[in-house]
Amino acid sequence: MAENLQLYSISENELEKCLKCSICTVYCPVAGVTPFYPGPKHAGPDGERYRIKDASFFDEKALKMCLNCKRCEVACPEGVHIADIIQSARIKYSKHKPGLREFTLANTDLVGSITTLAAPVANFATSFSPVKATLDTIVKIDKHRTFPAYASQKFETWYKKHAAAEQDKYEKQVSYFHGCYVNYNYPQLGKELIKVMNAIGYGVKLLDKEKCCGVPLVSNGFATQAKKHGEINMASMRKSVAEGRPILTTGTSCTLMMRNEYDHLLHIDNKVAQEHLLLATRFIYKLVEEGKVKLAFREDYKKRVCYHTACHMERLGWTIYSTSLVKMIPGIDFVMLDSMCCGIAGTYGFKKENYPISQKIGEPLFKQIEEAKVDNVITDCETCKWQIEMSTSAKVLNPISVLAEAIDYEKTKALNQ
Amino acid sequence: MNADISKKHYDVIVIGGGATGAGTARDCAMRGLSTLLIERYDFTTGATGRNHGLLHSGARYAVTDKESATECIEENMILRKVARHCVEEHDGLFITLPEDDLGYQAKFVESCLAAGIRADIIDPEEAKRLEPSVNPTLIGAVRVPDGSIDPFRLTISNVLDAERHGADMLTYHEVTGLIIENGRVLGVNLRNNLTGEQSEARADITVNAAGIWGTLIAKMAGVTVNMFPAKGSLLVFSHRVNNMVINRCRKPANADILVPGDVITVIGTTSDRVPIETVDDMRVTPEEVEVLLTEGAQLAPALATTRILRAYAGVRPLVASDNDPSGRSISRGIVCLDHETRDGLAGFVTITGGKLMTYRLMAEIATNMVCKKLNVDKKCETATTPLPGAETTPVEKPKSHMYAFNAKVGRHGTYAPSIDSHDEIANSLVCECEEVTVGEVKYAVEKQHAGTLTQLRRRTRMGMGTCQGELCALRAAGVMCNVCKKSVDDSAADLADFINERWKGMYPVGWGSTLNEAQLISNIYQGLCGLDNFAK
Amino acid sequence: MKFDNIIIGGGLSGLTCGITLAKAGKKVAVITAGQSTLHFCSGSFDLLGYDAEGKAIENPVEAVAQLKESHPYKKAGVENIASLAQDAAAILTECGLKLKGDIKRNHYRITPMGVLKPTWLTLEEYLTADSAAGVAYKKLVVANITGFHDFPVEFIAEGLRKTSTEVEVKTLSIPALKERRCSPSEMRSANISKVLSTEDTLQEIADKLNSIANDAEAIILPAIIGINNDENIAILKAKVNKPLFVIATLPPSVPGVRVQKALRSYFEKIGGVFMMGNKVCGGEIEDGKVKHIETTLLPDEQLSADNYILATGSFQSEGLMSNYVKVYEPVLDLDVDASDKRTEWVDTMVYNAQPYMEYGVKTNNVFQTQKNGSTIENLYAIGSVLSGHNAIKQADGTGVSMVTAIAVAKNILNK
Repeated sequence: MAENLQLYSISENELEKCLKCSICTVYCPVAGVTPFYPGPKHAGPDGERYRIKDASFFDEKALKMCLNCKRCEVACPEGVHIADIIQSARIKYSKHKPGLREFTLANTDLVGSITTLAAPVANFATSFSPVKATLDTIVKIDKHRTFPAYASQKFETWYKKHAAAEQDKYEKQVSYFHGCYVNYNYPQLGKELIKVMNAIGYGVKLLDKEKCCGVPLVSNGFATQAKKHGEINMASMRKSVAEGRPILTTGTSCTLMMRNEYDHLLHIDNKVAQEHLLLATRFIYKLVEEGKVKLAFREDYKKRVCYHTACHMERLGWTIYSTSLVKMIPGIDFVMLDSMCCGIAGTYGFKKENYPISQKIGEPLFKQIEEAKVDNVITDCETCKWQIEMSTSAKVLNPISVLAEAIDYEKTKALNQ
Repeated sequence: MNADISKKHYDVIVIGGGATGAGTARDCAMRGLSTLLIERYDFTTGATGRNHGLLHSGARYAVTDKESATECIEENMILRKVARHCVEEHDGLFITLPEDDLGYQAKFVESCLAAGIRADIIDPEEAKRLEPSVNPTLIGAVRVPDGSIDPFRLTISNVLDAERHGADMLTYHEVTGLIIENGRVLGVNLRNNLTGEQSEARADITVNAAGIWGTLIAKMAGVTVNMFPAKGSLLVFSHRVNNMVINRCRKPANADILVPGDVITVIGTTSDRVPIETVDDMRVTPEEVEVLLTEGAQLAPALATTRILRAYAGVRPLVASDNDPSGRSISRGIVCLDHETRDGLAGFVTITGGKLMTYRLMAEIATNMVCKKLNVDKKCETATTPLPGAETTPVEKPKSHMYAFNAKVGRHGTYAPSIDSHDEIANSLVCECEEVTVGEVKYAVEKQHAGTLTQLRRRTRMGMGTCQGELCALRAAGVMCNVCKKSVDDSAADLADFINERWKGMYPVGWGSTLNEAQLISNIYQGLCGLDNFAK
Repeated sequence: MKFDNIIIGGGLSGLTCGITLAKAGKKVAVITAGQSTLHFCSGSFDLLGYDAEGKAIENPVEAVAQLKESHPYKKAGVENIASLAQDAAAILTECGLKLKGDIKRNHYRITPMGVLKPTWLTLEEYLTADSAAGVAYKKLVVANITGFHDFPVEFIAEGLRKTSTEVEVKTLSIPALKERRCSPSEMRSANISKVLSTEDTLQEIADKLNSIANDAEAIILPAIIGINNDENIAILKAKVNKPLFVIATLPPSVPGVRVQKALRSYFEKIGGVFMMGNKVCGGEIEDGKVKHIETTLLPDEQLSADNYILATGSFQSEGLMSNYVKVYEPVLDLDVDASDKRTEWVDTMVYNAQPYMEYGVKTNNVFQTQKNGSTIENLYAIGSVLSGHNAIKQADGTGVSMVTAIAVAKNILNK
């Protein structure tokens, strides 16, 4: 008799644990606003039984509408990886050839590099109506969408010029996976992380080689390229860990992808990420909790903020670290928003066909934000930041940015010497 | 009962609504005979609905029973054409495991070829590539033209075509006796199993095609047909584990066929002699489950860790020709008895033995005998005339957002477009696991004699999926309330029955996710809805 | 991370317990692996509906005394049930839920199959009956949404007719709902409720209802309004010129989602930490006490507390699990009350009492759990993971969840 005879069940992405209870359908932001998406249950476990039988049951048009927000997975009482079933099916069966639009949205690093060189022009162009109209009609990127501005200097360039040399002075070290967003659009966040880490006595190094984590590549149909990138990232991380530096990030989606999805979506060995890749907020919170680090805050710092739980933060389950860290700041008046999707889902909301869905999904969140009457919205996700800033009057900050502005740098530094 | 039926005098009455009975009724009707089919419950309630659904290549019988093997492969090729909508042509493997005698393989292949069955020895590595779920320790593999066939669809297609040729159908009517005068069977006495009402029907010839129950029918006629009831149990797994049939290349034994059918996989079967009195309520025992799982995991190790949806059992109607207790070396050959020459009882024919694969041939043989008796000279055309749904007209396959349509095409072939899909409601799903729409429910009720949820399940697969009826059964009951013009209380009782019938298959495998599912179903139907109030 | 109390499971029981503890100033974390069985909620909370013979119970508080000794109510103390239940009702009210019902006298809810079942508390918007004899209305209109299959209106109408209420069945739709039906699978209660969450759609529904009401005394809708809060119910009621009630649908339960949200928000508002989508996968037990627990999402984090409460539910919630050889408790492999023989877990007839329904973790009289025969003094079990009663046959599931939650919370607070 087989030793494991019916002691447990094994199926890809826990497919067969689905009890068809339909709880996931309550939490799908897309199915809630459009009838043309068949919902997580049907697109996921129900459809998968058919796709296993015959690949021709793969419904590209329908599955493409999945945001991959993973709220279905968070809701599932049986632990079925519903969104992973859908994403795996897209990787496995899609025959769709990505076009210019997908290429533009997917290659955040390449397009980023080109655009940064000409940032003022690019920013002007992407905010200029005729250019937006072209994007809209030819590239099919929605004209209502405010493009994230490109920085005039890449974070990496700034780091090499202004920060690298300093970092060796610190005995304790971490590596920083900054991601495309910090590199091309918002170097400020990277600078703030370095400020905070230096204040608590840590030097920050960059990885030997950092590539886009692959989130936009996978969702735009470039899985093979994503796998190549992933292998490079993992190799760099292994080297970093071997040299005694854990890796920190400031973006949820990159973290979730590299930590929780590389293995089963792209079949990349990501043990190093599972064990040593952390959101910076989690890393810092743990140090404070264990008494290894002390924070001193500016006495004049006063702010009312609300926290938005990004979908991938919800899936990571790490909200508590970011919120606990922010709540440590004495001058913070903290409001917790209901956890719901803002609608952007990375590059999803940039696509012309998704724009109305995207905005409709975000409506209840935008309303809550406006009603909260806060100085800032805090979220750990960069694309949520774009979406919320475009759709509300709020200015959105990463918790690390809040920390950077709230700490008394000199005092903190002194406390941690 | 329809008054016309008792008034009418038929050329032929066929007893039994399985594949053989339906096939015989169709054949008789196609040859111009006025035909009545009588079934005591629903079509496919007996062994027809309780087997692997394997489109045998005949390879399994090649070594031990060449005649059966030849019949199988011939019928296999015929069914691929005339019943294409019921068939999946995925081929099968006969694997040799380290503990098996690889020497058997040569004999096996030789016997297959002698019977006219394509049998290609392939490299074990190639076998693993073709069928990744196969036991990786295999040392030999032979590829044969096995496939799978949906016995429910097959039978209903025969019924539909028989009706198209003028046959009458009488379900839920049980034969309580035969009308015999002067050494001649003139017809049958009937009881309506729904109302208890008694009636009769008359014909020149009565054909006994009642499967294992045929032995009881023969007894009513005062003749003896000794049948050998051999129970076979099977397990259904929650999704397709394999995409090719997997068999063991050895002397046929327990649980050595793994068949992918629709979106599930079936392992079977055991074989145990059972008393004839027990054949109406077959339950799968824990010992049988153990045998099926252990042996199944030898064919495809993944079965050890795959969720099991349900267990079921059928009874093979084998004609006892010796005292072999295993029931396996018995010839599965077709037996057609002319009781006039055999027992001096005119107007009575028994068709038995055989198997699902040879139902059409059995029907042909029986019909030939009937025609000879009635002096009708018309050739059998069932080997070439496609069943309804299998006509060659290709159905255009729609693309996006139309899973349900794809499932319907699978089930109804060329008839899929005649299923109501004119608006959103007709297209809406009742059963999500198996993609059954409101339109398909209506079609099954109006065109396929589905009057209860269990009948609806046999026509459409409603409630046969992962959740075993968790939401769909109540949705379907609601739709049927309106379509069938059934009283609400009868519909509720039918639903209560249906849920209990689903449980019969679940409790023998009630552990893991299946037990979780059972609790959820009970909480919904009994806790939330109070369905137990309607249980008989 | 250190808390005063960690509750494993975020359903009705876990949150009731969490709220009780957090209100007393404790630092409480609720860790939950997924959404709860409140999503299958009938709109009512049962205390005790049926006796051992299946007869409807009139006064649940009095009937508790007749229960068998293994029943969790017996452990909580027959004399305490009334006050614990009243505390539970008070918590639901504090969470903003509006309820009707009397602890000393069961009323009746109307099921989606038109059956009347005894219950203790029901959300205000539901149609209920004072007795099994029927509802207070002589003539009703039951209005379903066109193409909504999860509200079997024929059964409901027939059930009400049996109690000599005249019932007219109607269907209605509005353009936004017609569009929703374009989805073959997603015309579900929760999705409909999202459509019916604007002033405009509610006005359209109200207009339709007013036009079909004729001489009916009240109008019945499926429970499809108010997934986030009860505001939309109030808005609709104000627009309809007859009394308006709802009857439960098939899952997902819209009011159930609302109850879940209300409990969670209140718990978080009073300082509780709610960790959604995280699964407790093990822990360390030393000297008869749980030292810390581990979760799948925070693998290197040891979560510790003075007391732990297991509120993981029964099989369908994976609070209990089974395989080919045994029934077990998956988090800490606690001792369970269950037969060793698989064949004894089930009865062959689905409507008979199923033995597995009474399975659960073994507890002593104060709901402390045990492992390998030794009591774990700081690990309690509450709700559906407890053994000793059949929630379907007795209609006591929600009652056991809340009563044991509060009993354990009080016990911890008095320690």
